[in-house]
Amino acid sequence: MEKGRNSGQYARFTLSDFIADPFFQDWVIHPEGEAAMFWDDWVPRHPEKAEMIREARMLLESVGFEEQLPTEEEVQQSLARAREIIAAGSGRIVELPSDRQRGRIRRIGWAAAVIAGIGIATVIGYLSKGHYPAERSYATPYGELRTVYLPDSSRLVLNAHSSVRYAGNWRPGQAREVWLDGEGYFDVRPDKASTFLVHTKDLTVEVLGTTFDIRNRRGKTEVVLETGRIRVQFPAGIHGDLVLAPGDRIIYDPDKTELAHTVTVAENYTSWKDKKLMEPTVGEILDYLEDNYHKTFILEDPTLADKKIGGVILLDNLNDALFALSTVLNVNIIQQKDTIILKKR
Amino acid sequence: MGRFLLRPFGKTGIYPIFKKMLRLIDSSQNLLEQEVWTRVGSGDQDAYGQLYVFYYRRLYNYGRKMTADIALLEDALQETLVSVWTGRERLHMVQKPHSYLLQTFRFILFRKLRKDRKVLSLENAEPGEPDFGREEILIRRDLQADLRQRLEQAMQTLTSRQREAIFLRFYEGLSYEEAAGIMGISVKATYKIMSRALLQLKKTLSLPILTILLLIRGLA
Repeated sequence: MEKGRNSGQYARFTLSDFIADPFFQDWVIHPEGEAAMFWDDWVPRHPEKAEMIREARMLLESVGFEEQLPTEEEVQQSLARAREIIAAGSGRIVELPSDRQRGRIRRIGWAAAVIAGIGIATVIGYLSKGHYPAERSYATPYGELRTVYLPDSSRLVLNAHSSVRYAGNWRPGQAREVWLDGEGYFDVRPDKASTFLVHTKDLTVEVLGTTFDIRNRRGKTEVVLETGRIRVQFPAGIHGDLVLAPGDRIIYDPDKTELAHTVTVAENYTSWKDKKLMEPTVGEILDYLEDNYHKTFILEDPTLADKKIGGVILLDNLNDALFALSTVLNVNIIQQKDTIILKKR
Repeated sequence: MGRFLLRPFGKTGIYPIFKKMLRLIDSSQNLLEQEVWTRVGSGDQDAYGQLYVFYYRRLYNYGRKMTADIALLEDALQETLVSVWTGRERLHMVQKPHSYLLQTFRFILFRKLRKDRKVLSLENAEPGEPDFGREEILIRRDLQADLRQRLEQAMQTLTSRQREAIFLRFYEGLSYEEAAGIMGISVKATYKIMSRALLQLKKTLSLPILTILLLIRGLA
C-alpha cells in the first residue's frame, strides 16, 4: 500500500482523488498521527488546494454512527458471569480483594489451596504490589483537547490548557474523586453506591449521574448542567449547597464571594468539546481563544465584543477561527507574536 | 428509518463525529490498551476486568449494528472475551489487540447468527452475512439541511459491506489492512468497496463554501 505520494502528485489531485486517498484519510481520522506531519506542512504550501481540502475533509467528517451501548449493570453482570465460567474451568483463579468480592475470594482461595504450591508466590506478589499507579494525571497544552476515560469508564473531555488528576484505582463503594484545573466536560456513569465529586480550587461539584461542564478560568468557576442533577458545594460559610437542574448555569467568583445563577441553553456551553461555539458573542469567542490558545486579543472597535454571532463558529484550529472572524466582522487580523489585533478594514 | 438522525449532538451516548472517538483510541487509550493487554497476558485478573468492561462496550456497539438479538449478542461477547482469558498465554503474539478482538468477535457472532438463522437480511450482503445497520448512521447536524438530507439518502443506498467498511475505517479508526482482516476480504477489495462508497457520497456534495455561508447568514 502506498503510504503517501509525493507533493507533486497531490498538487494534481481532484476532490475525488483526495477523498479516496488512504493517506489523506489517515490525516482526517488521526489528526495527530503520522500523516498529519505531512499534511500540516503540505496544505499551507498549496493555497490553491485549500478549498478542495476543506471540502474533502468535510465530507469525510460529516458521517458518523450512533453509539449503541449496554448499561453499566449489563456489563457488570456479564463480567460476573464470565468470572464464574472462568472459575469453573480452572482452579487457578486468584482475585484481588475488594469489599464486594470478599466472599468469592475465600471460595476461590480454597480452590487455590488444593492445587498446592501453584502460583502462591504470584498471589502474594499481586496482593502486595498492587497494579495501579497511585495517581493519574493528564494535562493539555494550549490548542488541544483530550478525552480521558476515568476508572469507572466515565468520560471527561478536557479542554485546552487544563489538567485533571485522580486516583488510579477506584474501589467500589468509595467516592470517585477528580481534581480539575481549567475546563472539563463530564459524562458520568451513574452509580448509586459511590458519589462522584469534582473539585476545583474554589468549589466542589457532587454528581448524581449526569453530563455537565465546569470551567475554572480567570479566577471564577462556572458550572453548566446539561443533563441529570448535580449538587454544588462551596467553602464552608460562603454559601449553602446548591442543587442544579438541567440548563442551570452558575458563576462563582471567590474574590467577591458572589454567585450568579441563570437558566440557559446548556449545549451552548458544552459545544466546545465538539470544537465549536454555538451562537457566541464576539467577546466570548475571543475569551475562549485567549484561554485555549494563549493569545491576547485587541479589538479596535470595542463595541464589536457584544455582537452576537447567529451561527456556529468552528474551532478546529486557531487559523480557521480567525478567518471566520475576519470574514464575519469585516476586519483585518494582525498577528504580533501572541497578540492579535482585529482592525477595521 | 433514520430515527436517530435528528437528535441534537452533545447528548449522552452519541458521538456525532467519529473523530472524537478516534482521538480517544489514538492517544490515551492505545498505550493503556497495550499495557492492560500485557498484564492480562501475564495472568492479571484485575487488568482482565478492566479489559472486559472496555471491550464489552465497544464490541457491543459493533455487534448491535448487525443484530438486535441481545441475548445472542451477549453470548457472542462472552465467548469472545472469555477466550481472551483462557488463551492468555498466547496474547503476547497479538500485535493489535483492538483489531484482533473485532475480528474474533465478528467471527463468533456470525457463526452464532448463522446457526440460529437470525441473520437480519441477505440483501446487499454475502450469503450468510447479516446486514450492517443502516439506521444507526448519523450525519453532522451543522450541515445545511438540504446537503444533510442528500448525504443521508446517499448513505442509505450503500451496501451493507460499504457501511461496515466505513464504520471500521472511520469510526473504529482502523487501517485498510485491519479492516480487510476483520471483514475477511482482500485489502484490494476493501479499497474498492471504500472508494466506491465515498465517491457515491461525494456525488451528493455540491460544493458550497459551507461554513462561511452559515456564518454570514447567521449574522444577519
